[in-house]
Amino acid sequence: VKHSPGTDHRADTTPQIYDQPLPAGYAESNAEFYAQPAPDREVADATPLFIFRIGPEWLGLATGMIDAVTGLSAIHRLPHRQVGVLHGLANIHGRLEPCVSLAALLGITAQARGYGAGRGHAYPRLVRIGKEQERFAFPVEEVLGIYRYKPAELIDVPATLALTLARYSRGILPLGDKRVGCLDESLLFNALARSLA
Amino acid sequence: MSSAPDSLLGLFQVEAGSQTALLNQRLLDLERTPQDSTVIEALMRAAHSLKGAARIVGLATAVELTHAMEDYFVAAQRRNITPNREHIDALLSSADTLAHLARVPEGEINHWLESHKTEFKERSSALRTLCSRPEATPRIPSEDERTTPDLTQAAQSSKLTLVQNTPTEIDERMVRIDAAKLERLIALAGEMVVESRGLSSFISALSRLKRQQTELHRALDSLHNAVLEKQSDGHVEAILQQLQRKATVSRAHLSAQLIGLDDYERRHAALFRQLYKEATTTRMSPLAEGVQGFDRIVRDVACSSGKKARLEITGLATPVDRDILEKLRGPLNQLLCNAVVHGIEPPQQRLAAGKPEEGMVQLAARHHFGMLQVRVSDDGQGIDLGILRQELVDKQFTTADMAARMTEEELLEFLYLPGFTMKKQATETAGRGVGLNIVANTVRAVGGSIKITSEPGQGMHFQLQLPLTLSVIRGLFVQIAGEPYVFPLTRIESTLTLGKADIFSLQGRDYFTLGRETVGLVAAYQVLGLPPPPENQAQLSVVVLGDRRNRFGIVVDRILGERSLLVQPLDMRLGKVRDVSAATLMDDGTPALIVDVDDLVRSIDNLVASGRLTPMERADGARTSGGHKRILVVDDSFTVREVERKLLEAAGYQVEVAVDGMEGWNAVRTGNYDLVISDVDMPRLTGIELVTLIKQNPVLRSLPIMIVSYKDREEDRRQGLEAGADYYLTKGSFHDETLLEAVVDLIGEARR
Repeated sequence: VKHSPGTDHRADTTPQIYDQPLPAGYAESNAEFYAQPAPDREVADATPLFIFRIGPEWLGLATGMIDAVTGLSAIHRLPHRQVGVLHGLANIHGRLEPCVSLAALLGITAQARGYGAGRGHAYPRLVRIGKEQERFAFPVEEVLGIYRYKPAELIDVPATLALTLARYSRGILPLGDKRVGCLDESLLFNALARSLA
Repeated sequence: MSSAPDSLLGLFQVEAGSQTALLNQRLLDLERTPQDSTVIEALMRAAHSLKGAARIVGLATAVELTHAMEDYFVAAQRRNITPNREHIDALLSSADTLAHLARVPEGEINHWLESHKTEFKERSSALRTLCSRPEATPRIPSEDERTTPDLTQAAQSSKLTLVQNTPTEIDERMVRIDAAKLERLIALAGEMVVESRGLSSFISALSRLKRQQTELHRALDSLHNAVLEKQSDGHVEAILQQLQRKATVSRAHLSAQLIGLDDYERRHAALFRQLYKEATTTRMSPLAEGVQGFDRIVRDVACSSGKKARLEITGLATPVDRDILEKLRGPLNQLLCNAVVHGIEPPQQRLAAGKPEEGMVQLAARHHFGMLQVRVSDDGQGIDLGILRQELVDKQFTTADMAARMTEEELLEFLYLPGFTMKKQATETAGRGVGLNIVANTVRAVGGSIKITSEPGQGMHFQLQLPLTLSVIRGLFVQIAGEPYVFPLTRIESTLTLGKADIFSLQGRDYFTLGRETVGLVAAYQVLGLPPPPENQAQLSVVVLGDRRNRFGIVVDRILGERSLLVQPLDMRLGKVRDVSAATLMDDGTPALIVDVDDLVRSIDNLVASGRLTPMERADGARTSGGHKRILVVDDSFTVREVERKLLEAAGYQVEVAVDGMEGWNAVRTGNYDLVISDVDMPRLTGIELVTLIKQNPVLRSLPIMIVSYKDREEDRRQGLEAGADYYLTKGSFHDETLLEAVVDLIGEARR
């Protein structure tokens, strides 16, 4: 069952996600989506997953990790740090946060197929994850929303992904015609922390 | 800043800290006025409160010492004893021991007390001895007599002193607050200022709406007139009138709302600016907090050099940025010591010169034209310029002829030189010739200046001009490689715009002339390791930086303007980012980086020395073009670097060098190389660590690496290859063709 943005009961742990004004057309596209019948699934002891898109890949992070979602603003590059995962600095609520590229970390190089400009409903965002002194921001091309799933719904990653994505993925969640890679938070944090120095 | 301690022991330490500061200060007063009963009473109270507090937390040794102190003051109050310098010394050392106790980490207190037991015992018995000398036979109150009322009194006074932590002229209430939280509040206040600007664009949109309504209204009027001319029926006329009335009402309504909103926006913006200003002033502390203990230092230095001197401080309430206050302590300390050691004359000499026996050192602080002005003066002998001239000639700093022609200001400048001292014999506190040099450097590092004036026979004055805060600086905003950067205004010599005709070239290096001087040009993006800016300007915007010796013209995309900005430190996890000191936010919330000018000058030096500097015109092409494969050589030995470079360049490869692993790592991430050749043993980051870093990086992972090392044991080789090196070569092999062959094996011939 998909929760509508205003009524998510986990709002207290993710206080700033929906603080941002909606861009034009966003509400319409959401309304269209909700107008379709919801898939029939049980809610009990399901895990909420924050789903977003980078390039052609849909990815999910445990909702508890998400600290803030804002509109995409300028990311300032850092001199001499042009190769690798660290992207630069971004202003999130008056504070300069290290901004990383999940695409670089996960090895996502392919361009989105059939997304972006042609589709017309993608709104790039900056997502901040983590707590206190351990925070990172990263740009995403689109936020799908928060979904709940049961661990049993996850399917294994293919063996061919073992070299790249699988390093950071716990499994794949089939969601309609989308396949969402569920990221391993602790591994991700580890890798991001190492990428800064 | 830490939050308030919550354990009893922690509370005791807080109290011990403030009471010992008070003891210190009052003891110095006592030395000056040994009969002053209010001073003795204050001292007695302090010792007494501390004793009570120590008893509550059960620190017997501390109870004993404070008790001995208290007894001394009781005896002094009854005139059984007359405080003299020897007594004050003993009391001050006791206060020091207690102050030390206040600083011991809480968990280690018992252990620390155990190991300092004898020190406490010695101090107590020394005080007891003073009290029991023949001249004085004070009645020492027995424990029983005084114990009972103590506990309640002590408990009360410990509460009191927690609130009034600073025994100074400022008795405002202080609270402790987490520094990170404070920074966060300041950042949010800054964000509010940015956000409030959004309203004004909304207002201008509404103003447009109002204009459109006015046009609509006019159209209605002309329609009405047209209808009237055609003599139409009353029904249409009535509808039109109704329409016009409605339009008038709605226009009036919109106008009223717009005025209200405009007003609201103005108040809002003013309020936010004020909030922001107030928030930034929370970084200020009164000068008093930074100069605690200075009077004690002056006294101790005077004592040990056989002089009499006292310190007078004015402007204790002057607000000073905490960061500056912290950095200022060392220099002020040094200046005060200098004043006593070099300035103040011995008592007999002073009396002979008709001055009071006791010398006076003054420390005065005030705000002056938006700067903090701190003045340290003494009424000592000053500097005899004749002797200074002679000294300069003797030490061969200049010729007698030159020295004779120098002005007073020029002569005094020599005092800042490292290794220059007027003192014949170095002492513990002054005369080593490093003091003033460090003072001047520290003051300059925070963007301040220092001026010396001397009145021979009358004294010396040191005047320090400092910025009020380090967190708000004036900066020049520029654009480099399409992004905003800031140069601190104090570090910029000038800015200018150059046409193509103003630029000359010599040996492939671009320069321009500034008066009679030539200034080399360096592209900012190149120094910072950034890609070239998208557009090529016909005119070059240049920021001139550096000192007299090395002056550079930094070419930026364009100059955006000058303004005040709030400095935000970079995230600690990033480590030191080369050429960047901190960051800030622009008016619209865009991040901008503040350039670390000292770092930048070093980077330019490196760039020039390594021959990587490319001329302006060709700059864009140089990075990407080539046709030659690029190799990075990392080695801390100059010889090895150069041998390898020559060998490889002779074979047609394009070679760049790095002097250690860290620089190699920085270079590798920006340089787009085809191969890295690295040594193993290097400072900062070893070759093995460098290889590991590269191989862990998803982008660089495929970059071939060759290790060249003196170590030729099998396990060394294995270690290198296990870290991910593609080839392991022992040094000494590059006299033959081995090195080149290995390179060709790994990446092929030099041509792409």
